[in-house]
Amino acid sequence: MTINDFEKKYNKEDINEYLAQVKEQDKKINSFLYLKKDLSKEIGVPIAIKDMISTKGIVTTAGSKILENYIPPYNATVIDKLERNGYFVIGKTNMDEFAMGSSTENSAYFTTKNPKDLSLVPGGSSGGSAAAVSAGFVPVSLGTDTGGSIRQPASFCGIVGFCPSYGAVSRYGVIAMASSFDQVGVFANNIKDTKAVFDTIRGKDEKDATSFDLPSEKVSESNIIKIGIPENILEGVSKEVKIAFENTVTSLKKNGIEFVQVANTNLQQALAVYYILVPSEVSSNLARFDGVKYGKRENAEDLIELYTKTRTKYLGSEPKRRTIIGTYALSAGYSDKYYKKANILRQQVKDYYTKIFESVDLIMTPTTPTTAFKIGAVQTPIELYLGDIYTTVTKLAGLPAISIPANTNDKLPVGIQFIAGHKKDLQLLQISEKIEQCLQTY
Amino acid sequence: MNNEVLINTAKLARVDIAENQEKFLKELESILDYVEIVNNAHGNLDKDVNISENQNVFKEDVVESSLSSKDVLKNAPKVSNDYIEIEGIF
Amino acid sequence: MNYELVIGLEVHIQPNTKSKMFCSCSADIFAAKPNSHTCPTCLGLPGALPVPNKMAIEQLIKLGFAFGCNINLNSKFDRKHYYYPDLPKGYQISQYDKPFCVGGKVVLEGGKEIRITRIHMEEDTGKLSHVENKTLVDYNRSGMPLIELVTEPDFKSLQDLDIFTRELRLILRHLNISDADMEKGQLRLEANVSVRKIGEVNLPNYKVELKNINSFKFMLKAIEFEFKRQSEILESGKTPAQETRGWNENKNETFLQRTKETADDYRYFPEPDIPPILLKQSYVDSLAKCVDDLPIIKRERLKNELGLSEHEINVFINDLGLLKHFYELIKLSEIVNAKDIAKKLVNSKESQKLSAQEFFDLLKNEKSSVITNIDELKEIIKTVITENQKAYEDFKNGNENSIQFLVGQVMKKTKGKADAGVVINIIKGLNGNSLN
Repeated sequence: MTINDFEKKYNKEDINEYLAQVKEQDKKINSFLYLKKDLSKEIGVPIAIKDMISTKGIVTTAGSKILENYIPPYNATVIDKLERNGYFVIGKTNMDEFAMGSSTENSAYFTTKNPKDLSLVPGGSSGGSAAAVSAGFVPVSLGTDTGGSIRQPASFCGIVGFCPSYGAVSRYGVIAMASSFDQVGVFANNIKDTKAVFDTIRGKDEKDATSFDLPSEKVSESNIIKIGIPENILEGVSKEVKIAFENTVTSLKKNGIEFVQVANTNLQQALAVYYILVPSEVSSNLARFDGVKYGKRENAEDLIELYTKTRTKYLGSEPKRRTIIGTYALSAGYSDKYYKKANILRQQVKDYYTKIFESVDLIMTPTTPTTAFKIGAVQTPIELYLGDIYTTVTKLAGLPAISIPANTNDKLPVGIQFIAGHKKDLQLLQISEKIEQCLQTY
Repeated sequence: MNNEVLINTAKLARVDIAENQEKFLKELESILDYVEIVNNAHGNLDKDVNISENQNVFKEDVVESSLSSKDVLKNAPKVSNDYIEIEGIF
Repeated sequence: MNYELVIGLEVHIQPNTKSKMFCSCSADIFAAKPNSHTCPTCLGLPGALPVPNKMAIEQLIKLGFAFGCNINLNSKFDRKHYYYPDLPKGYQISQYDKPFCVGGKVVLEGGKEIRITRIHMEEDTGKLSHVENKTLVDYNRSGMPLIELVTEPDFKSLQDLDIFTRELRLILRHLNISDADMEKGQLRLEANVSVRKIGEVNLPNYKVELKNINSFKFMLKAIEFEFKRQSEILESGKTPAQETRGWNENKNETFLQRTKETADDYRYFPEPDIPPILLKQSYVDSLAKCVDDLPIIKRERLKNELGLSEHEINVFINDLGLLKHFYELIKLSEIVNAKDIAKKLVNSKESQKLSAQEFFDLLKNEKSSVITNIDELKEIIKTVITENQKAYEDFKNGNENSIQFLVGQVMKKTKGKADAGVVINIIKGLNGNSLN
């Protein structure tokens, strides 16, 4: 369902009928943690919001038990912008706890299913928002992306998932996981709707010092689009992903898009940098969950016990794991070795991309090395982290990136990732529209 | 990373992992093994990375309305008059 | 064995701002209802973000200029992590390795030089209070701006500390950086105190931190007590423990607050939510002008330009409001000179409360007062000249004694209420166009 479809199909009179349908059908999918009970006073297009984003008066849990009863007294800036511009929040969607995970199985509440195959995960951490769009419950939804949490679920669920440049959208009100990586992004069924929502939420916010307005230069329609494919990028991907990727290249070539090979950066190293810096920032951002001011609190005899009991009981394994890694990486005696060295490499990745984008408009990679995996599949943390190998590296440089579904002829969805230079979001979306057209006509 | 370091780090993080200590230790060791690769980095340890590329972002010294104390206290686990209360820890 | 004190100060100053350091809550928190001046940012709600208050930073840089510090043109904020209920985010936004100001010094009366280590910006915590078995938390103070000034351990005596603290308070008030009222918590002192043998050059290998003492008087008492306590320990061959102590005003002694066996691990890293601060030299230079308002500069001006006495200068420097009033009166006065205004203000508390008109009228009506009505005075002078044409001609021909004679005649007519200097000026100014 696109925005257009929704507007054509439903009007004020049958809006609650629509809601009832969503509620009923979501029993199979479990994409919503919270669904409004009455839409009769709502105006505009319904949008589902990942439960990482503060909604005034509506419980916001970040997928965690520690915030089970937390009701924000304020809206995130993106919510205010949406509500003032023709959208309404229909509900909050399920997610991996504190956005840590790639399957939404780390939610402290329940697991969401992939609408394309109910035995598979929808991806994560924004699994609920992806599923809600993929299942046709809403035309658009918001997610957050720190290392791929929008693009990977989009790839698994067969929809568009767009992660803007770091800073293009305000993070005020978005529960922080890794402050220099987090970004709010959009799920939709087409580029047009993606763009519509993005245009509504983007822009400099005086409450977020890292936000900015995008420069408005456009890509000239007559220019030939040049896409770079990193060397050996398909090494290790599954057969389905390889085929979908190659077919996509073929159909784009047929439409005049040029491809060149570009140097690859050391992806393994980039992943290592990501898994030092992100846990470091996580350990800092989760320090505020202490049972004192909001959220759950355990009884205790002394201060250390108060914090320890509360956090131990109500934080899940992955947040605990990353908090400990991060605390270690930042602690005296180790911070030079881990945190500071990782930062040096981060700058190198940034420089690498700046160089590549001197000669190409976009870089193209698979979004994920495989299609969606089974719910309950046992993987070690490292195995799970390796699934993020294509998406984490762009976040080291704060780049905009989008996952567009490849043509897979009713087989499992495969997403193809397109990356643009920093602050080139509008150009990325413009070219994505062209790519979408190419894929539709092929 | 060994048991002692793990326990001290967990204490610093105010998280108790005694229940799953062995599993945690193994997982953390493997993750730290994986990220060792960053030690190859050379360069200025004190140069900061600026992802947004913003600089000199300030706010003017003007007052805007605060939350009502009702809103502040609404989410607090325990409240006493206008204060947030913590029992018996000092 | 003779011992001496080795003291370093850590001063926390709340600058005058309307809003808090990283949010727009009102900074007017004194005696406000608990938890009524808070917002998502200073409460540490999930998702909230900090944006630095430019005014607070300017106040800090001005203080840096007052102490001759180097201003870091490249600066940033860092997160300092520790857990405490009054610290809502579990970290304090502060500055670690690139503070706004480094170095600097102040020379105290008597010549003692105190070196300033650094001045940095940070946010304040909330307040805890304890009632029976409960701890109550109020976050109004959370997120208030704090300027932290750290000195080298250059203080050797209580007098040093007294002089320094007085001068610091004056600097803060005269530069309009802070009202520096200790009772309102706008100025807080912590002292690092050690003791060593007189003649020993090396710094002692321990220090005792004196904290949470909210009056200067008690701080001095605590240091005095520590001097005795630490000297005795050293005399017995031991080293005093490195610890934090407070002052018990009932028992008149210091007491242990907590031991620091290991240094705190604050896990500092750069604050990712606040972009770096790259100040332009021209902007910084524009703030440097504030040193014109330094008490030491004002003292010189009052002495050299207005000829005030030591006592008068002290009164004005210690009462900024009165000084401002004094300057206003000088501006409004046509006849009365500054010295006389000062003399009256300093000697008469009642006169300080009068409006300008009332003040000048008061002076006029007193014996040693001066005629304030220029026209009236001119008329009298013209009359005297008319009655003493020869003397006036003599004066115009260069006879200085004649002018004294004329002044004498004016004095007779005004019963001594004219100001001689003003009369002379008027006569000289008449200059042939006499009766105008």
